[in-house]
Amino acid sequence: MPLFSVLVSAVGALLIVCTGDRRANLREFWSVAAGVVLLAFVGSMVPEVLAGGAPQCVLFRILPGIELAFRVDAFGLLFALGASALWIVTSFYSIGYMRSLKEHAQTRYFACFALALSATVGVAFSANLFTLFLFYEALTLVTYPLVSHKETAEAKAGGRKYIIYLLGAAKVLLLAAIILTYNVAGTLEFRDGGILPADQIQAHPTLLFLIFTLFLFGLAKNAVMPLHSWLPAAMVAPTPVSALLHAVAVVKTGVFSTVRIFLFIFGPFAMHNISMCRISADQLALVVASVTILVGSLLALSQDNLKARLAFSTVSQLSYIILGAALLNPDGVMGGIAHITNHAVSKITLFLCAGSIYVSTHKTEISQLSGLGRRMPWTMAAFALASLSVIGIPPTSGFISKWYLALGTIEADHWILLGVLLISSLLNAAYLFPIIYKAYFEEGVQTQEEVREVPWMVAPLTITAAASLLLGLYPNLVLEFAGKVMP
Amino acid sequence: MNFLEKQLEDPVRFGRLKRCFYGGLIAIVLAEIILPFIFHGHPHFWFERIPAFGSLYGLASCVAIIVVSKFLGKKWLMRREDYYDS
Amino acid sequence: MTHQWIHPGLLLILGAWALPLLKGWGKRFAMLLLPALALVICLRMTPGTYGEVSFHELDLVFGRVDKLSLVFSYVFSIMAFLGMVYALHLKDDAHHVTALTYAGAALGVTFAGDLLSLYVFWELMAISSALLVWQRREKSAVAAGFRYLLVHIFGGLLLLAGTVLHYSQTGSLAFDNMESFAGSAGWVLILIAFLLNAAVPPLGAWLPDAYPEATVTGAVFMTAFTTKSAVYALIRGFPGTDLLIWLGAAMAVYGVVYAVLENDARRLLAYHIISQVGYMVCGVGIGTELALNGATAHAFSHIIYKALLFMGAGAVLQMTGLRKLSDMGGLYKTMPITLSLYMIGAFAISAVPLFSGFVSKSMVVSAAGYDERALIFLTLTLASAGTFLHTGLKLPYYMFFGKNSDVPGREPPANMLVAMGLAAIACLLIGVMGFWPELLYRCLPHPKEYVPYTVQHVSNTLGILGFTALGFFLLLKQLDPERKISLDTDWFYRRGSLAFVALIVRPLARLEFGFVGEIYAFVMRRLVLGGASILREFDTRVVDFTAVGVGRLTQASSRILKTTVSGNAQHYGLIMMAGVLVLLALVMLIR
Repeated sequence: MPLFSVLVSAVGALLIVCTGDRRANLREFWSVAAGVVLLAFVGSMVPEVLAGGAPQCVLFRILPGIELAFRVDAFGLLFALGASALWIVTSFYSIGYMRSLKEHAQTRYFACFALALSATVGVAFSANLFTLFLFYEALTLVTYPLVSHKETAEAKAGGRKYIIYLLGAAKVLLLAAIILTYNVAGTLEFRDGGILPADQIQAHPTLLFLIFTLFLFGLAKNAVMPLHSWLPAAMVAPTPVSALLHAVAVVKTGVFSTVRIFLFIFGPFAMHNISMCRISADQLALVVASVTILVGSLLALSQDNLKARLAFSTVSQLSYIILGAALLNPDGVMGGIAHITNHAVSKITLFLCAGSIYVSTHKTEISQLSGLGRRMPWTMAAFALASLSVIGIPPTSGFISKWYLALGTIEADHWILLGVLLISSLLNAAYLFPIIYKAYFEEGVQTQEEVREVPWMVAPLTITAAASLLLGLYPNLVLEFAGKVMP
Repeated sequence: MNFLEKQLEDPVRFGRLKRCFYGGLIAIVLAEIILPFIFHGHPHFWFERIPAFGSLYGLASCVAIIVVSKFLGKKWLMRREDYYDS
Repeated sequence: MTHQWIHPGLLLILGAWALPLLKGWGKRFAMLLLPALALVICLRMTPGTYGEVSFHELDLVFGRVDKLSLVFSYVFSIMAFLGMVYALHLKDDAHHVTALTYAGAALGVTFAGDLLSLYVFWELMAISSALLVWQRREKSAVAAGFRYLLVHIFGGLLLLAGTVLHYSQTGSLAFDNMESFAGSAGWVLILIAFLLNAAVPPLGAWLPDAYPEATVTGAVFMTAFTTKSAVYALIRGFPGTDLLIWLGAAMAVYGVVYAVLENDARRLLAYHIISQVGYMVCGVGIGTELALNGATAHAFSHIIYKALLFMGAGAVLQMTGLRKLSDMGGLYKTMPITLSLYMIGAFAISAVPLFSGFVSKSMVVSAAGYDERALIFLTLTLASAGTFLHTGLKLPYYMFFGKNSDVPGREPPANMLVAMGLAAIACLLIGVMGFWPELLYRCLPHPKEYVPYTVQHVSNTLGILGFTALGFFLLLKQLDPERKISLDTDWFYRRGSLAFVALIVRPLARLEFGFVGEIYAFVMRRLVLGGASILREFDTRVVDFTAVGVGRLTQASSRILKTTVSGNAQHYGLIMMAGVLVLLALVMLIR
């Protein structure tokens, strides 16, 4: 079953390519159908995982401990559920976007999109580092054409930066880390509590710390500073790409992998005990995450381009997840993992709104958005609601993850991190509310042209905005999954 | 309204108003001094026993507030109207 | 007895969002019906605990009903009703929706039995009141609203931090007297959050900053809910905290001092809110039954008379467009009803006998007396004089009397006058009922006897007021309003935020795009692309050369091969046979 989930969207991609531009509606149908089938497959595994099971599937083995294998546990399933559900929503949105702007190369776009989902689900269901690495790299390659889609000089430069950062970090840092881990542990499998033997931890704390550092920065998709610049550069992509991939799939793959490695390769014991110069691994992660949170929010304040502001906001919010995982206590980990889903739903709404604004008005800068609240009511209302979730105001979903993260910081006696979380919330309010009040309470320039919202685009973003509210009122499903990772 | 206008604009009537005001003040002071001997109140503090304490303190407070506030304003707090608009 | 308990706050909030669906007189009726219904619900409520919800291991209580929360709920509902009457003429739906949401959130805070539901409604109040400020849509209002919202979100975050810390340490979210946790980090943070909403200096600069910028009708709502729900929270959670006595007394004087310097009418009234809330905070701090009763009673009467005062000033603003005292004057001729109703409010705030302030403010001052706090007693009395000075004398003098302004006034629309009239009646009614103290003070949380109308008290008050008036007329020239603004503690974050952006945000941006970006550009351009161009050179010279060479070779061989094609079938057959023989030979050899 895990294998089928991975293959579904790959098959979908194939069908899309075969259908091509001639029968656009059929091609779009394959996208949506693949999404629905994927969600069904993933959803079918929910009861089993909630009951404590873990469906597995080993494909082939290269060396002992290095095999292409899938294993579905609560963590991976939560991630896959979110990604597949949001893919369906984004497919409809993409249809509206691509057709309104009469974009070129739509077949390539939809096919790559489907393949990207395949890779994402592959990462989610990986049973070991080798499988994870394969699909991780595949994701980078497959999303490159999506980032450079517009094929302007700017798009090509952005795409180049994107792939250099991600492939470079992966090849240089991540691969080395994986190889070294295999040497130390003898296996690459994900196990609860880590795979590093205790004697190795005692014997080589510095080496292990270095490996940890290689992992942390090698997984550049998690956008920790200073290897985060690919994210704002990737904003040259069309908005649905930014929305799904850079709010949900690509970046969440990065943090997912990071958390997976924190908890299932290193484990709490190792994280506390491997150190260099008296800084332990979890402390390093906490510091890096905190810096990213604060600097990301500050940089977001300085941007007038809407997508750039949202990109830096994403950089900052991703480190909430890393912070939660690095706290290594049940509340913190639960908050961080829940944030994967909660932030995905909220952030995707914000990006979808940005795209809707662009399609309807061709405006990209925040200073141009005056008075849009009246002309694009659905879009701006969804934007306002999702902003509340990113800031973390109850009863939205963002509040739930923030609450557990806050509890986690206190439990770990790291009060300064509580301060970091709260300052970041205040900064989030400072850079998101101006957009809202400009749209609703500032008079815009009176133009003759009529502004109309595109229904194909507005419906999906309304759904995701509603979801960010619903997940705040009924967080039980997400919290149940998240709670299983570190009970 | 004509009633108020008449009272304030007409100098004769206005003068009468002023005399009523001063008369009222004097009546209050007298009341404050005499009444405690008839109705025994329960003052909490020694200064409440000072005759006409209310009136004295009222005048002193008023003057003090105005003087101190104006002083603070001139020395420190007051700025041009467009101070924040830089 | 368990019967269905309807949360009046939720009724207001949900009803508010349904308002835009109605039209015309139906909408107007609904606007008045909603707060009236809320009031009826509150009046019929019996004390108890309702609305308990278990939210993922956390116990939330949405309906904690006891005497304290009931009395605040009455006055909040009455205020919502008065505000709606006042705003009846407005065609703008957004205003009505946000105002009722704000009132509903205040009711939510009042009935919240645990810190988390308190926090939820606290934030909702912050957002909806910020929306009320923004409704005015002028540039200064938009900026003031943004500052207001950020300050309140900051306060909310403090409350959240305090709640999380408290929950972490005690395992309970219950919101009750926090005396036993005094000094703990959670206690401190929650206290600061409450003080911020109560506009205690130095955290209170948001109040005079934002309230004058709100719409005429919006400001009336704003005066009531944020500060008074904070007072409620202080009475509930921090009674008897000594710090509050001093803060409260200082607040009372602070507001009065700033009001002397004020030129904007509504900003002057806003500073008076701070002053009056000071009495309440002081009462909470004293903590005796009389003091707490006084704080509660004073909150009750303050909401109503402050609303009346803002309604009056708002009416002047609406009908003349003037907001600065230096521009106004002579309006007693054209707006006498507004003037009279305003004066009732002014007498109420000044604690003139027969008005509501007299029966409530005196409780707090007496409590200070009973508690043997001479300095506090004197300070509060001084502030009383100051209150009368500004609200009862200076404001009406410059607004309605004084020199003649250029703008002729007119009486405001009927609904605004009706709202003011109702509030004025309430002020008088409460004041007169002071002759029957048992009846009047029935709703107050603590059963403590107090008689407001004693000869000593009345004559004392008349003395204070009369001679304050004398002082006013003597120093009239000194009080002439100047066209200036006064700096408050918001200077720190207004100037501070500019410095913050300049010193931190911009350099960071420069670092990010300049420095880090430059590194990437350097690596890319020089190293990578440079290397690539070298390789390309290699490609063109060597590889191409080789390719060209191979091409020439191929051409030569094909020319030779062409000669072998003769077109003779036998030749082909021969060559084919030869080829097969060679193959067989090869096979046999390899075997």
